[in-house]
Amino acid sequence: MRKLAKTFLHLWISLVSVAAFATGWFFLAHAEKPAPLVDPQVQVSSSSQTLLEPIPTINDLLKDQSPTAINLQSSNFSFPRLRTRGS
Amino acid sequence: MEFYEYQAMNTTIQVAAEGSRDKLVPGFQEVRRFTEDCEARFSRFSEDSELCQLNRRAGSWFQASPEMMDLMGNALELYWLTDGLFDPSILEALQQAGYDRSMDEIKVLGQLPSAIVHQPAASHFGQTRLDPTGSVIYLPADVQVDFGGIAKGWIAEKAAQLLSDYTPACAVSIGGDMFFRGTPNGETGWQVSLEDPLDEQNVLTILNPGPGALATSSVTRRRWSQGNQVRHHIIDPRTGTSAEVEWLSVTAGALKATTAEALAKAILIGGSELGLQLAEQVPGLWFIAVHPDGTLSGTKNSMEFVYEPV
Repeated sequence: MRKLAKTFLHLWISLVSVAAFATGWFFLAHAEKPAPLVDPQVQVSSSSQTLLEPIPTINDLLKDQSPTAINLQSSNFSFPRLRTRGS
Repeated sequence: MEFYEYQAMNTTIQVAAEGSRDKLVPGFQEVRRFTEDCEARFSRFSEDSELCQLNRRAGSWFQASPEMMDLMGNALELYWLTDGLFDPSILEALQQAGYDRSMDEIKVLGQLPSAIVHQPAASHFGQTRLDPTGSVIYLPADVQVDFGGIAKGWIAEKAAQLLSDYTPACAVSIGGDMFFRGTPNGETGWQVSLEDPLDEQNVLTILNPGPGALATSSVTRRRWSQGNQVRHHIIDPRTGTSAEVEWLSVTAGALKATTAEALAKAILIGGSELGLQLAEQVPGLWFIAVHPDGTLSGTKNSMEFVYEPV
């Protein structure tokens, strides 16, 4: 009798474990996925360019200056010694 | 403003600081010693470096220096932030693309033979584990790391920190990866020339960043031919080959040098949408991209960092 109860208990624990695992798996499998930071399939469209602001070059900026400032360019203006470029 | 320049890490190191030369010289010497120590630690070309030892111990725990722990922690954080677009473990892909020797040697060799198809490794850098209590790093068995630019940025930031004991305002630039502390007397920022990626003699604009970091990532500086393909050193970790990009370079400003360097690279690979997403997400981040026709575009806040001659 005790042996039968023990077998029944083992069977019960096994069944409950399997059922709990299957339920958990079902809910996780059907849960909403977190959005990836970067979608590897995403193609950058040319319209996304418009999301960035145009930045003036030094030539644009100097063209906008008064004649005095342009003189500054030809006489005193020198580019900074610190330079950034791709490593 | 006093300047000190020397060659190390296969590039030019520029140091600028406010103050009298005799007071700054010990600081310059300390910076030089520090950068040389770091070069010995993080170089992938020196078999004795800590980085090479770490790579050899991939697949088991490695006792690391505090410097290695710090840099590796930064690298992992940036790997996850960019969803793997910044990945310092693309060494094998770089070598398969032909960048398996110094750029000077590659130039002498000319066109390299075609590569075998890149086989992605089963493991990835994101599986790297750090245990700060024991100061140990676990690198997955088939992962090999080359920090490259992120190490330069990290070293520039730490060097500027050292130099700030001697001066209220200083800048350290390692091959264009820069870190600034303070601002020059009477100025709102540091003037920095943004080089034309197609002609280093040409300056596209002048930037005026305040304290913090500045880094540029470009596809034009290290290029070579392999078979009938033109390769460059910016590898897209998703494909394992030289990235197809819409811009020639991206210059990014950030609070930390490792962030500026890694995100400049990730934005160059990922493009404008990713760039704007990161700019919203990361405090203090801004960037300017150079288009193939030489025009510039950037985040709204990047205009604050463009110097306007008066």
